[in-house]
Amino acid sequence: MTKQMTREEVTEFLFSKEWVPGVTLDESSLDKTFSEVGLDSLDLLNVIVEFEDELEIDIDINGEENISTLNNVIDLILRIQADPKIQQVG
Amino acid sequence: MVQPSTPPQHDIVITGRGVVSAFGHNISAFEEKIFGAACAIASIEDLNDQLLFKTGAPVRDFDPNQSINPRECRMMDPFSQFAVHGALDALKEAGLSLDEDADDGMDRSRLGVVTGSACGGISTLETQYSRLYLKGSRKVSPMTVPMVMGSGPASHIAKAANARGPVFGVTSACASFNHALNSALSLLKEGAADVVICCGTDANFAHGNLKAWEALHAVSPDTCRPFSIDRKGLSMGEGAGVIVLERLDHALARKAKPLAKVLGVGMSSDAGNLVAPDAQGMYGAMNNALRIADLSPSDIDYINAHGTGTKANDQTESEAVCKLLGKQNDATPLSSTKSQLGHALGASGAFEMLATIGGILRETMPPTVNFTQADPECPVNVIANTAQPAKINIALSNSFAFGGLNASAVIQKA
Repeated sequence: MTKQMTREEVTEFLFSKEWVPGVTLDESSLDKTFSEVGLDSLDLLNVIVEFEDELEIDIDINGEENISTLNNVIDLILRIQADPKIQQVG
Repeated sequence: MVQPSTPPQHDIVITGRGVVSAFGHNISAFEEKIFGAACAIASIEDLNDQLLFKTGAPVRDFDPNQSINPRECRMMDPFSQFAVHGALDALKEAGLSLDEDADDGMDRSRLGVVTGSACGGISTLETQYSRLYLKGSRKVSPMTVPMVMGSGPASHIAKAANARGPVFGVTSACASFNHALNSALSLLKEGAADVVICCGTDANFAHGNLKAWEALHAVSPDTCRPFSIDRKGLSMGEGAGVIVLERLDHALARKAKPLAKVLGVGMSSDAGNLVAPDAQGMYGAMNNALRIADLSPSDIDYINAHGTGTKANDQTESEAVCKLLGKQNDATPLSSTKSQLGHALGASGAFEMLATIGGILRETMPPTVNFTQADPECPVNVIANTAQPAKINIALSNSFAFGGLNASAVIQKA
């Protein structure tokens, strides 16, 4: 049984960590692009891995279109939680 | 007609130094302890209480974020952090700016970096594999590959220094620095670079690595006593040593102060047992070093020995030194920096180079500490327990690695 997080809990987890030295995430960060927030592609992968560990799910952002903001990431996590099969191949 | 890009003058000089070690994180702290005959080997039980041996010389109180951009720092295994910190100090002493557009006489496309490491990013590997195997994590950090790769320090130094010339890493276990040095000399002599930052680095206190050395039964239970009759093995060390190398004419043109000359590196392979030392291989490296430098054994004023403190190494190295020096043997002082800083693997040759340069500049030979009594099986002239005032014109610095990979550097007063 995997853990479940609400949107508020996902957001809180996101805000609780200093993903990049000197970069603070808050409500104003959610709809900005990753580069506007100060996250590069490896930073984003790091965020994804932490959520994968926390929620015991697989998140493949390579197969997803329109992932350019943290709100996009939160939406994807909630969709996968609701239906883990949406990213299963074959 | 195309003119050769390199002038005929091929003297290679050292113009900058940097260090991270158990003797501190800058050259002045390092030299103060080296020539003050200190010993950094002490209890490590606060770091690891699951080992049969209880001592070592780890780097302590090192905050890489003080010298390195924290954003870059989190992409680095400690062996890269040590290397970059040392490189920044070495560039400063050499009078080279980090600013690509600085008027410091340096063309960044002619600035190279060669690093040597025995182990690569083993701390990161251990941390990330622990996530998989112990903590049940599903994935490792996406930073794992760039943090673990053995050439990571070279890339990070290049980025910090805007070095856009030849940049790469080499590995030859405990001789990694001296082989990196030889590669750096080649780049300068063949005209592929005007300045090369050369580094030896390793972060060795990951639990699995310490257990691997424990399994070899090569680690002393108390301390490191090279060439002493009661020696019981090596002690583990770690850190990074960095030098800036350039052709003498290049250094003088930009008004940099030459600290010492590097005349060459003699190399050999035992082509035999991977862990047992071979006197013929050691002799071959030292003899090749003298041949390259066009010197005779009587020219050597001082030898910084490989001197691990194991029964086998020190006895075999003594045999090789005696064969090389012949009747000069009694007159040629020798010491082991590993008695002070332990065996830092890929960084050890760099520490020993820095100790040797310090000896040339201070006109003082570094000591072999913890020495209690001469061993008849090691009939060499050990500088015991205190540094010895003496002028050094020519010095050898030996690194004889597991795998039978031998490299001996010849250094001369500038």
